Amino acid sequence: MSKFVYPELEESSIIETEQMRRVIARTMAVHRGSALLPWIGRSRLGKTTTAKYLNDKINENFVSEDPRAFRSVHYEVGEIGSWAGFDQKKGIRSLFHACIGRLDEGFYRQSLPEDLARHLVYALEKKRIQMIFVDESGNLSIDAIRGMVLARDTAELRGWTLTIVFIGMDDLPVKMVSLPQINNRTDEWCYFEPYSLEETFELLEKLHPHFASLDLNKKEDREQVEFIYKQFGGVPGLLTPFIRRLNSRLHTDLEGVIDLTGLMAVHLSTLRDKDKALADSQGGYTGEIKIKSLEELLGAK
Amino acid sequence: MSNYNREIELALNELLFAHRMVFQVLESVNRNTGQAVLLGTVIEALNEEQIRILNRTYENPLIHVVRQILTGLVKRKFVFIARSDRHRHYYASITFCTPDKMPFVFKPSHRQLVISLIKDAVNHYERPVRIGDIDRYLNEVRPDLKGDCKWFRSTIQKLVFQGVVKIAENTRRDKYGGYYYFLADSESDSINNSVPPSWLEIVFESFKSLWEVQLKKARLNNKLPEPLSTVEIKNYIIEKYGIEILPHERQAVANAVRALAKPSSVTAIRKIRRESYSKCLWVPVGIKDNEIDLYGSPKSDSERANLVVRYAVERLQRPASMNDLLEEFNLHPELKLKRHRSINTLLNTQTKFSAVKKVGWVYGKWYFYYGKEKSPEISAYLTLKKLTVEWESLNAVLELNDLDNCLLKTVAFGRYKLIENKIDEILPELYTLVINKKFGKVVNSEAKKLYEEIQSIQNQTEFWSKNNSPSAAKLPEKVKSNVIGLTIEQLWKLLQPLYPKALKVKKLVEISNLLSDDIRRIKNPHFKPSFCYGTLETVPYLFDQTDAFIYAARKWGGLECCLQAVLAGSNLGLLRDMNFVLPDLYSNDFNERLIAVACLAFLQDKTAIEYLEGVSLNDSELGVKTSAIWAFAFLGGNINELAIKIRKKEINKSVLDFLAKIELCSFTELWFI
Repeated sequence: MSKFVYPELEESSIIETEQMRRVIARTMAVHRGSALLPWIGRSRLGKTTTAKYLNDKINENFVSEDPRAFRSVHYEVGEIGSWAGFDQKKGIRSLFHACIGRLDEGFYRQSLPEDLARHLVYALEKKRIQMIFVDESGNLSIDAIRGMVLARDTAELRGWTLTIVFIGMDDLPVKMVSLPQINNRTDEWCYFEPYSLEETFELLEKLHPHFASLDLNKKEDREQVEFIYKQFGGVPGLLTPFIRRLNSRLHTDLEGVIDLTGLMAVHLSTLRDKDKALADSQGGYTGEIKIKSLEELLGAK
Repeated sequence: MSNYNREIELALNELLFAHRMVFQVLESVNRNTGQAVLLGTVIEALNEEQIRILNRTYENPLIHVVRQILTGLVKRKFVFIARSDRHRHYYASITFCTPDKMPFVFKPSHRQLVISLIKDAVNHYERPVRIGDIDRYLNEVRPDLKGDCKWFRSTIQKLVFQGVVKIAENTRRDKYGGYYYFLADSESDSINNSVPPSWLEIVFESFKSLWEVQLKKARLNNKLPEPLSTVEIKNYIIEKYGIEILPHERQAVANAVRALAKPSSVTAIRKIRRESYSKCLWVPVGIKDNEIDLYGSPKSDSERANLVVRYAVERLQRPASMNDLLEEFNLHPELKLKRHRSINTLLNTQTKFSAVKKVGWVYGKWYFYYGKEKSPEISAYLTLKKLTVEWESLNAVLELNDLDNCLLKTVAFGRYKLIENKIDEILPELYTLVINKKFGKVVNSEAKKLYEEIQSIQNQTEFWSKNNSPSAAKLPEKVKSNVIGLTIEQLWKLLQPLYPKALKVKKLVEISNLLSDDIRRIKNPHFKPSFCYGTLETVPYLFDQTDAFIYAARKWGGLECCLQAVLAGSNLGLLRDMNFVLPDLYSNDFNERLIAVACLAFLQDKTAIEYLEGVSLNDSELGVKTSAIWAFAFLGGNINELAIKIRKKEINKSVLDFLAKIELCSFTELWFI
């Protein structure tokens, strides 16, 4: 048996793209007005990465002495369905847990939503947190979003700036516009779009040295980029795993040479396995025993 | 007749108005009742207006006035006295009837009734009678006289005093016995001189007839007869002869039955003992044990309670707690108490005399045992129970799971140490008990289960410590497990300014009820059982001060106070050792510094004041600085001195404003910041 080797460690780094720069600029532009900000877009378009990037930048550059400086928090929210009850309080509690720490159950139950919001904002002031990225906000019910808006309003009332960025997809935009109290406080909308061919090439250049050596004006090189662009639709979240797969097969199947055929081989091998898996799952035993009706049995005889 | 009436009418017209009015009232009462009436009846018949007229006309009290008027009317022959019973006169008006033509028969007086009653009873029983006999005679033979002879007992005493009734004999033949009565002028000497039964004879006769009843009952149910209890015999005697039959002596029935059971030439009753029943049972002499149902139905609530303990002990094979007993009641519904509401009070009084013993008290719970109390298994079980309660109070599983949620690594390590210490305390003792096989089979499995549970927690803690030991920080090797406790008075004083309801509390126990289980209670290490209350040593449990402060701050505190309480509460757990918090005061993460300050504020260790002073002067973070200032004041530090130092150094306006606010606050006001 050959020696088992773990995959090499990767240093995680975020590549700043044009779309990220644009979204960050638009977000920071409305921050002082305690904005509510939805970041909408399809899956794997880089919303979470952008939030993480901005969050890191804000916290890295924080200097206590600078009165303009503030901190931010980025967290993934779980589901708060409309069936749960006390959604407003749950929304505020979610912010409290993410930014301050665990909230005592007794204290949570006894307090009204406005009390919770007041305590939350005081703690945010104490920690100088002015921006909160609520990831997967599609999980939130309208009332839970209203609870978070209540926290933002309380902050405004206390003279504290609090920007809440709702990151998500699903029906988040519909929820945001369905209530005027939320819709009218939404100062900016950011929509994440798939990358164009040029933007995809720009990203590929930074992801792998092979693509950095390509020239889009050359037909052969352009075909390689176009192939990737067509297959992944300019979705950056899908490009990174493809590059990982490509790297893993570079010195085995591809023998160190990357060309269009190689790229297709890497991609098609995954696609082929996927198709086979899907085809297998269409028929055969599915876990349910199908009993034929009496008529069918008699007919069979 | 009409001429006669007219004459009377004319004569009446000459009377004074008040006299005529009384006459008319008497006449109407006579007609209504159909007989002569007493003075009181006439007065009762006067209406308000008539009373007002009499009071206005005469100064004397109404009763004298009416009596004098009636006497005057008698003298003038408008009214006559139909009958006199001692000093009581029955009046009748001449317009109602004349003295020679009385249309009715008078009821006999109470005295006459009682005399005839005694006479009849003596004739009925053909012997002198007791009070109980007369009572029975009234009930059985002459129930029509029951209402009129309600108070015959006291009348008999008077008649004896007057010599009308004589005492024939005494039931006990001594001063404690009850008396037999007969009439002094009775002609039948044979009856008067007949010897009435003695008390012992009565008891024995009753016992015999009750035993017959018992035999019949047993035959009907196809069972053996059950022995009789003293209470059953007593109830039967009372039912048969009336309560008056009982002599004026404490435990007369019990003494009589015991006397009948004494070994002598006339022994008539045999004493029987049943383990679960603290008192004696009785059967006739000659009845052998195999001819009776010795373990029949329980005779009293105390026996039911004893049996419940016995069954519980037999089922569980260990001493039973009150909860076990209540469970046993559900398994044996036939043992439900009949007279007493609570088994607790019953067992508290009964254990002195019965086979049930209180064998131990473990953290507020009594344990009962049936049988010999000095058994090594019992003491081993109580030790196991003590260890279990101590282990459960630590809540180790939750505490261990919570360690990962603790944001301060050193505090989490301190909490881990606390669990480890407890395990080191409990495990060897438990091991000795299990290895030496001190328990019975059932308890042994319980002990083993606890041992395994603690061992698994020990393994988990070891695994946790390998991955989470803080390497850089210098931490003490041992964690302090002593907790500052508050008595209920101290807690009450603390709550008064914060909790409006605390002011209305009349009894301090109400505070415990209001707070229910919100504040952790700890065992008082200095507790000494005593009858004098009010000192620290006499309180078995104390309130955990840190927990009480955190609870109060979360519930009634201001924003700063509440925030710090939330931070401290969610991180400290059961740790009360400041030394595990101090390293985080100098952490690079401002979050950790903030939580550390909050923890120090609520641990209420005065030695933390100097550290908090350092933080409030030197920390780079404004939030941490302000929190440290509040915590410094909350711990009782000299805020004025600190303010001078801060003002020399600090330029940030928000810090200085906060400081100025704190400077003006008393300790109570700090809660509301």
